[in-house]
Amino acid sequence: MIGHTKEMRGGTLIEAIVTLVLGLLLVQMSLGALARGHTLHQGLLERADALKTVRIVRWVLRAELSKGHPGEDWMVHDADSIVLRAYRGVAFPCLITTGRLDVTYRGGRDPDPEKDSVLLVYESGETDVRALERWGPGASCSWRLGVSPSGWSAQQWAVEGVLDSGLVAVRLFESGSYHIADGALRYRRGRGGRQPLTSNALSTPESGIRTGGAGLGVSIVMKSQGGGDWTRWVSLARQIR
Amino acid sequence: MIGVTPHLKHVSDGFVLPLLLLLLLALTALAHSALLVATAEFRMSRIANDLAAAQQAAEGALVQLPGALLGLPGRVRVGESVVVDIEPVPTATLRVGVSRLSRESWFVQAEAQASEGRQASEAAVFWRLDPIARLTRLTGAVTVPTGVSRSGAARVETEALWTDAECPSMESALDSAFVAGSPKGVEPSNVAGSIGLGAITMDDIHRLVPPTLGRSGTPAPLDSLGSCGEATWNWGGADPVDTPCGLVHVVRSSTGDVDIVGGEGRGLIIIHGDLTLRDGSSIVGMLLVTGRLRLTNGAYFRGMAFAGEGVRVDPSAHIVGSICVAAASLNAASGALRVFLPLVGATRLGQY
Repeated sequence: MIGHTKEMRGGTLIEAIVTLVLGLLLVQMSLGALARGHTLHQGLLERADALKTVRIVRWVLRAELSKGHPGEDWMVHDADSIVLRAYRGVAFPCLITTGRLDVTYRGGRDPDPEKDSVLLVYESGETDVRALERWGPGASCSWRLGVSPSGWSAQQWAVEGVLDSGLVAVRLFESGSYHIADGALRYRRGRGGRQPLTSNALSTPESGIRTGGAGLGVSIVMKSQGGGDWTRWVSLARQIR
Repeated sequence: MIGVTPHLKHVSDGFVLPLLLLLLLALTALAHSALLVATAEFRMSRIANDLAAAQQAAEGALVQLPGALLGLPGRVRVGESVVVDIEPVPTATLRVGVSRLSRESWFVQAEAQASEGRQASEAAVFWRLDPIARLTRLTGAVTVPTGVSRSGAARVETEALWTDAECPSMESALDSAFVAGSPKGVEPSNVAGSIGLGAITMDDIHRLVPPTLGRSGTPAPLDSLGSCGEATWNWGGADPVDTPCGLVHVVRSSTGDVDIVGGEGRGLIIIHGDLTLRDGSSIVGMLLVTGRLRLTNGAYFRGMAFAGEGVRVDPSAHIVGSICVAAASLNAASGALRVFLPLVGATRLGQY
C-alpha cells in the first residue's frame, strides 16, 4: 500500500505538470485563435466601412456635380474642397409678372429664401442668378410634367429684380462646398459648419480631390489599424474645363 | 483501484472542455458577426449596383433621346406631355416622358427601373429651333443689337405680310404670330442670343452646316440633269421659277468675312464675320451675320436679317423686308438645324 501510494503521488505531480503545460498551450492557442478571429473581424468591419465611404463619396459628389457645369456651377477650390451650386429643385414658369412667378415645382425639399437662390434659364441658353425673396403655394400652375406626374406642386415665387421674356426654367440652389478634411467627407452650406457625411475613417491629407489626365476624381485613403493603406480612386468627371 | 478512480475522475473534471466550449462560443460569435457584416455589405453592394444600372440607363436614355424625339414637334402642343418609346436596354426598363414647355423648349424625363426594382431618373431641358418662334424675336426687317450703327436705314422697305404664294403652308401660323404685320425698317433689339438663332451656338451651326464659304464668290443657280446641284456657290435662283433650282432654299455658313460679288441666290446664310453684298447681287431669304452687314453698288436683299455689329445700306442698294421668304428659308433649313440640343443651364436637372 505504501509503495502504491508513492506511485500515485509521483504520477499526480507529472500529470499535473503535463496538464498545466498542455493547459497553457491550449490557452495560448485559444487566445491566438481569438485574437486572429478578432483581427479578421476588425478588418472586415474596416473594409465594409471603407466601401461604404467610397459609395457615399461617389454617389453624393457625382449626383451633385452632374447637375452643373464645371467652372460655372462648381469648381475645385483646393485639393480638399469643391465649391458648388447645390441644386435642390427645378421649376417651370406658367405665368410671369413683375418679379413674381407662378411655377410648377419639383425638388428634394421646399424652397427656403433664407438660404436659396435661383438660376433663371432662358430659351437662348443664357442664365441669370437671382435671390429668392418669398415663396408660397400657388393655384394657377397646373402642369404635370415628365413621366411621373405626381411630385409637382403649384407655387408662387417672388424673385429679385425684373424678369425678361423667354424664361424657360428656374433652378433652385443653395451655395455650398464639399470638403475632405478631418478624416471625413463633409458638406458645408454657405458659411456654416462642416457637417460630416461619412464616418471619421479617411486618412487626410492623403485623401483628396485630384485633377489630371484621368479627369476629376477623389483619391480615398482609409485609416487602417492593421497597417497597410487601403486606397481607392473615385472618378467624378471625365473632363473639366 | 480505490485510490486511482477518484484521481482519474479529478483529471477528467479539468478546465479543457469548458475552455474549448468557451473558445468555440467566442469564435462562433465572431463568425456570426462577420457573416452579418458580410451579408449587409453584399446587400448594400447589390443595391448600389442596381441603382448604378438604373442611373446609367436613365442617363443613356437622355443621350440617345434626341433621335427619338424628331417626330414629336408636330404632335405635341405647348403644355402637353407624352410618353415615348425608346430602344430598350438589357439592364433596366425605361420610360421617357416629354413635355413641351414652349414652342422651342422641351422638358424630358427618363425613368429607369433595374431588375431588382431600384429606380432612378434623369431630366433635362432640350431646345429645338422653331421658325415662327425665331421670327417673332426679330424687331425689324434688319434687327441689330442696341447701340450699333444703322446707316442707310431709309433704304430698308418692308413688303406686306403676304405678297406671293411662297409660304402658303405657314400662313395661319404667321398670321397669328404677326397680327400687326411684318416688322419694319432697321430696329434695335436687346433680345438674348447674339446671332438670332436662339440656343444654337456658332459651334453648333458649324457642326450641323459645315462652313464651306470662302472669302468671296458669286452665287448662281446651276441645274444639272434635272436637279439643282449642291456646289458651294449654287444657291438656287432669287426668283421663283419652274426649274429645279427655282424654289430651292440653301443653307450656307462661313467662319469668316464673306463678299458676295454679283450673282443671285436664296436661302439661310449664316456668316461668322462681316458680310458684304456688292455689284448687283440679289439674295432672298434670311441673313444671320455676327459682324457687319453691308449692301453696296446695286445689291439687293429680300427677307429678314440679323446683323450683330450694325448695318450699312449704300444709296444704290436696298433691302425689302419679307417675313414670308425668311420663314420659308428657315423652314427649309429644318433638316439641318432643327435638332434637339440640350439647353445650357438645364442640361441635366438630376433626380428629384
